[in-house]
Amino acid sequence: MVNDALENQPTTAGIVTTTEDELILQDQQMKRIEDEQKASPLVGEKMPCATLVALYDQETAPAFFEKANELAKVYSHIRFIRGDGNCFIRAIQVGLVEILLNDKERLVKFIASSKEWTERLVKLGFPDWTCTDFCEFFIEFIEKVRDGVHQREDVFRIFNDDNTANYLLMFFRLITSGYLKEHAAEYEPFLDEGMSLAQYCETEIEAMWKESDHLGIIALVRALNIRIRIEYMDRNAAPNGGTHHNLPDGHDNATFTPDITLLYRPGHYDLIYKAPLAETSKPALPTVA
Amino acid sequence: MAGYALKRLMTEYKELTTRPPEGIIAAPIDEDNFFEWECLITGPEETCFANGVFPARITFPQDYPLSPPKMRFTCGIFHPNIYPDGRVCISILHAPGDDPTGYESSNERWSPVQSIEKILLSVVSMLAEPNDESPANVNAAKMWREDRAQFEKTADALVRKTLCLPASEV
Repeated sequence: MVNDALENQPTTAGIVTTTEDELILQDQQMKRIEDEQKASPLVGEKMPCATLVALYDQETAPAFFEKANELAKVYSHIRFIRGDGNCFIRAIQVGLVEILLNDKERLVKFIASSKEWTERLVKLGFPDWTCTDFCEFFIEFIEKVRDGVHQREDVFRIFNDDNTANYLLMFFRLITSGYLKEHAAEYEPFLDEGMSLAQYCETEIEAMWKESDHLGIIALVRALNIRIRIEYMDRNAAPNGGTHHNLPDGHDNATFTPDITLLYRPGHYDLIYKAPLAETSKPALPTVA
Repeated sequence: MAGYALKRLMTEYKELTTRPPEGIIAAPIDEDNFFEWECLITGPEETCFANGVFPARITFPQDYPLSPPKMRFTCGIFHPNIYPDGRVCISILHAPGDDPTGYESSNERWSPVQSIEKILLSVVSMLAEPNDESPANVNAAKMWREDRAQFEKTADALVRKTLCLPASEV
């Protein structure tokens, strides 16, 4: 279930490439991500995919330029997420809340499952109130979305406020950790020798600004019961050498309808969107059947 | 500004006052500034620090508890895991990856679900059982390892000082 190839995907620290050109490209990429981290908002505005294409030069970065153009044919918009180590989790949180803003029924179910998660975490032995405090903080936020106290623009203002956004993010880190702990027997074998799942969760999942690796990704997707697609800018990075990867595994590629689509560039995730189905200013993201 | 951090610190203060851990007192220095605390830690029994009452300051970052606080003893304590200027160097005060002393991965790290109480309890254990593998005070670590009697004498002198007792005659 955790794909071996996915395990080998490059992280910020390790670069997996062969040619010098590609190395230069990745260096530029990393530089760009570093600059972005300092200068860009936590959650950017939704921009036309042409913005992505414009990042790459046809002469110096032909592979990425070509891939960006391919993506722009399928996807209409991109939302850049700050590369601060939280980008995967932040992208999922923003993408999910965007869906919930337009799907009241799903929002109500999501609130119920968030409340269940609070109990599940307590049952798993998470430190009592320091943990539930984060749960309550998130639930209070999402209930205000349900009650219309937080409108769409409020939500994006909050997601861009360091003093609030990172605390909301902690809830997703905790349920990721909780999901792994509930399925310890399944996931512990994937850890480096000598590391317990509890240690892994404490140092890699529950700690802020730590990048999500494959275990963190699959656990959050399963904890939230969502379907995601990850598009790979770099073909070498994709498991099975394809151009995208669907999670959770085991669905027929042809019929798989992701809730959220992410673009993976070395060490970083952003949100990407298909063109709205109907003529409307709202994002018409498909929901799970 | 710092809404969550302040709320969390107020909750922790309430918890610590209603259910204080044995031998520990901790509170904000000024109720107008919850980001600067003072605490008193009693030396653990049956150790050379027993009966001493050691004052320390805890400084919280604006994004607490996402980032850990800093802690500094203000009484000139001589201990392998406390820098000569009083700063406490234990794993729970460090986020994973931020690793000045090369702790083993099995040591407890800071994570946002930790608490002030957990830190203070770790500090008490540290007083009882110094870790001389990765010392913050090399001289203290050396003395602890090679001349335990002298280390205990130094600790005893400090205990007496914190209690305002005259120095031992031994």
